[in-house]
Amino acid sequence: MPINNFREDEVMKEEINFRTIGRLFSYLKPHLPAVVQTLVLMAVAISVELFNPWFLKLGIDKYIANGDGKGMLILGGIMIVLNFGTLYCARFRMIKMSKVTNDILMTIRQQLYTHIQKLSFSFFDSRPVGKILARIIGDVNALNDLFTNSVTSLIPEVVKIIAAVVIMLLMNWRLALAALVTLPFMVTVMVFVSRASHKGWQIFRKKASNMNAFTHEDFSGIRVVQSFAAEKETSKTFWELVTEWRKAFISAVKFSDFFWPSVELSWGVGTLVVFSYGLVLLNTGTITVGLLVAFSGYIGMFWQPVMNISNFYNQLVTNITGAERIFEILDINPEIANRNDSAELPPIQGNVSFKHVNFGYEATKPVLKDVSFQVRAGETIALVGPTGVGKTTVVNLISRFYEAQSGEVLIDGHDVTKVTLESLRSQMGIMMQDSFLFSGTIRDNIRYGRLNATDEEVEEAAKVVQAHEFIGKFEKGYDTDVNERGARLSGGQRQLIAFARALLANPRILILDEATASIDTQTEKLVQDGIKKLLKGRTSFVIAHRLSTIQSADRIMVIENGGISECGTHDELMQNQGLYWNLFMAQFKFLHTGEAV
Amino acid sequence: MVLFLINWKLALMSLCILPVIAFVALRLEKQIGKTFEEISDQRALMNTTAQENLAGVRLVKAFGREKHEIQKFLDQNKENYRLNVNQAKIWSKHQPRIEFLSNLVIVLVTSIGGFMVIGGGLPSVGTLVAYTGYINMLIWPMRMLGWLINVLAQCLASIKKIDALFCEEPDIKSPEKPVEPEGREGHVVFDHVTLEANGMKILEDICLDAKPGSTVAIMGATGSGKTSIINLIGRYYDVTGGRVLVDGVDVREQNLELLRRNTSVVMQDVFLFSDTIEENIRFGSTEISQDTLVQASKDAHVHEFVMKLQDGYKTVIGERGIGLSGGQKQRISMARALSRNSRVLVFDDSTSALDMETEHQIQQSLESRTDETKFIIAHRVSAVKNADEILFLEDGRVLERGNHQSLIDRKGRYYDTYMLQFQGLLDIHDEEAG
Repeated sequence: MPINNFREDEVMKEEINFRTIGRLFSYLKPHLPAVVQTLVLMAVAISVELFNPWFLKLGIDKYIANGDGKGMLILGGIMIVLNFGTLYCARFRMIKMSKVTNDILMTIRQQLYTHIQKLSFSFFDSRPVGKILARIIGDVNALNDLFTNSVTSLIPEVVKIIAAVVIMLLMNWRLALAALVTLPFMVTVMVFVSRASHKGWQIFRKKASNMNAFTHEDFSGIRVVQSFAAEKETSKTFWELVTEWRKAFISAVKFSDFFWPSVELSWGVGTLVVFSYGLVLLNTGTITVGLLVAFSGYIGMFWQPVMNISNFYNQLVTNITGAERIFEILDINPEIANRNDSAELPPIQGNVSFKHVNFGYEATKPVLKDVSFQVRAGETIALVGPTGVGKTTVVNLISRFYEAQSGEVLIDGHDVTKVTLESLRSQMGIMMQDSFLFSGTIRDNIRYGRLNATDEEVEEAAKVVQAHEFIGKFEKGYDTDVNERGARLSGGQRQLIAFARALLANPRILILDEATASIDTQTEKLVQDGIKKLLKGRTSFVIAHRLSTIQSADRIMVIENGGISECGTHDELMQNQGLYWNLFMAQFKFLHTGEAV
Repeated sequence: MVLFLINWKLALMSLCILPVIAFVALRLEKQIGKTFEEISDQRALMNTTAQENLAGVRLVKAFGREKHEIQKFLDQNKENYRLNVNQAKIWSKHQPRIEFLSNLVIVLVTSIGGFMVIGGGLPSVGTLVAYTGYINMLIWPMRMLGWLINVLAQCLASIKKIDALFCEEPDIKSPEKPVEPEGREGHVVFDHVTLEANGMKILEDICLDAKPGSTVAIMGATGSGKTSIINLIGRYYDVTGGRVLVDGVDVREQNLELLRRNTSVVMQDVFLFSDTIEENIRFGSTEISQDTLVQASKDAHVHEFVMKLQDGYKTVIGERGIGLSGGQKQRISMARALSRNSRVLVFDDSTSALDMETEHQIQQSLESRTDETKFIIAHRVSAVKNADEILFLEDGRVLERGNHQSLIDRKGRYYDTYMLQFQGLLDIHDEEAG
């Protein structure tokens, strides 16, 4: 899979897909009762609104013209009461609708997040974190107004338009047709603009995503940036990305800005036509002044919703790209997932075997070629070999972070691809090269290994890895925030905390991928002694470069050229005089030169 | 104005509702502003949760904690929902009121105006129609006031955040009149340096004189202050006692940018951008020539594995170097430091993920670079043994110092470490000797 970076746009389909729109609105389905309620409330409000100009006409033509003060008063009273009623309708409707919208957003966001949790490493390997984040937060937020407006504007506005047209036709069909004469022009403009606009907004979202990716990386590596005094260079890169983003926005918004003027122009011209024609009709005595006044009110009532709808359409075009990006991720199938027939892995002993395993991160570049080995429960295996040779890959296959392209990885005779991921990984303790800690307290971080562990158990694990002492020196002890200013943990300390976390999981199989690289030798020795006691009879895989770490293993596997070239105890391998012996003798030479100084 | 010209009584009456609208609008502003701030805070929290989850996705999967993570996010997602609905509640309380009041003005004007027409206070129906038109013009902006305030409050909440960032003063700044050392040679001196933070002594009375071109190695237990020492060279913290001199000038008197440009650090945690390998080594700098780049890559043993890649130096690596092994990542960040041509090089535990042979080779190429003063933090004796001076730290103090041989002879902590790491070798050595 090609790796995407912050300079590169993501690839997407260009044309507006009506299935996306349909899929988006399917989220409204569970909220149908609330939507109906909203619509009823809208109907009440709209009818009051529709009656307002009519009241005006009635007041002017009937009461004022005839000097009927009492009638006028009653009419005014009725209008106030009705409007007051709409106030409450509006309030109720707005709350209802906001609940619907926010609920949908919450659902989509959660769905997306849950789905991303299921995706395999290769998904995360190929794109920057900032870009995934942009979809969970930014793209979902882009849908914010879409749902509210679809219900509160789209449907009622359509009703309003129809009502206005009907009333106008009933009042005077000639005038009504005159008012609508500019409509076809507007629709044509809109169709053309929306195409260009959609493309523009897609580019805009991609640029926003690039920017997000860069900011995210830049701030994660801010220490490196500062240490190289590279602030100017990174600022420059950021500026470039912002500029691209801004340009994309301006060119997209240029198209969107065609929407309003085209509606307004049609509205204006339409009104002009109505008044000119109305004047003619007035002179011939076909209509009254009151009718023309009311009619101009209905023209507004026709064009205002048209404007709102076009505005909504504009919004749809602008934000549908957000939905596309969300659905794109939702449609990715996790490569590594539980199968329908996946069984729970029963409590294991810890026998691990590889049978003719072939694997490569990219299909054309094999990392492991026909690897077979067997490890008995309780053994400690050290994996040795030059950097980049595939040591981490071996352990990645055991925990099924990746799946072998062919061959089998078996634990106690169970194929790892045929058991549920959770039952497999919950029986393993994995400590990785980069000791990642979550923000939060030291205690929370250790407890991540077993969520229901008591405080005592947490401290017990910390004691085993020799972390208890330094944690105790902090003012707040185990409640120290790992990212707190001043209390910044050293690399070795972070590693020890991560170690305690892995131990707390009480695993049957322990995987230590350079788990002690940043820890001094004396502490490491103490840690190892502690683990040995605690994890008696557990299988462990250790990747390390320090001889003292390697030597204490039961068996040493040397990995070279995609396979295991040697395997045995330290003594056996030394007698073999192979690669391990060579590695060892290099140190031996060093020792000589060291003593010769 | 026009309103008053037509009829001042009617104008006055319609205007008296406007302050009421303004009052409602102000109340709206007050309440909704607070909610927007909460939403903004909460969104930041949700963002952090998602960001950490994604950054630590390997860990999440390793522990099979997907469900826990989903629950964690759900809680925040729900809180976000609650706050947003809250905002909608406040909005829906005030906005219809404004709408109602605006409609009220029109109804009142029409009714009372109607009376006036009947009573003869207004000349004609036409005047009233025109009047209502003007009132509409007046009411329209009032109606918009609510929307405006809604948007404004949202902006205000964000601006407060941004402003707070701008107001943040960096603790460590370049002095106004920096002193430039006479020559940049890489001479680093620690003069009775003490460092304290939060009442905890991190470093105590550290003295050190690293001559240009020499190598100083630092060993010690985790948390003993190794990284703190080298952080003082590039002035990432200020000493609380004593002083640090680089090329004869106190670092606090030097231009910060020049000081840091002259000190290249390879950090403990490797950091790489999702970019090409070349860009990761150059790190934005255009001053580095292709020759320097390749030389640095050869010294850091990057060149050989890069050449095996299809796109060579133009290969795009994933964020944080995903797709490369730990050792390869370390070597790239080392090449980055070596290509800078700075006089002080700092390696903070930066060979830990390398196999012994590669480490040995890199060490040799480093030794051949005599222009730079080198600081090496390491746990493996093999990485430090050729240093001119080795400091063994304990709890922020220098416990032992000297070169490899003198420390071995001393039979102290360094010797213990040495014995632990080379037990097997020493046995063979003895056998062969015996």
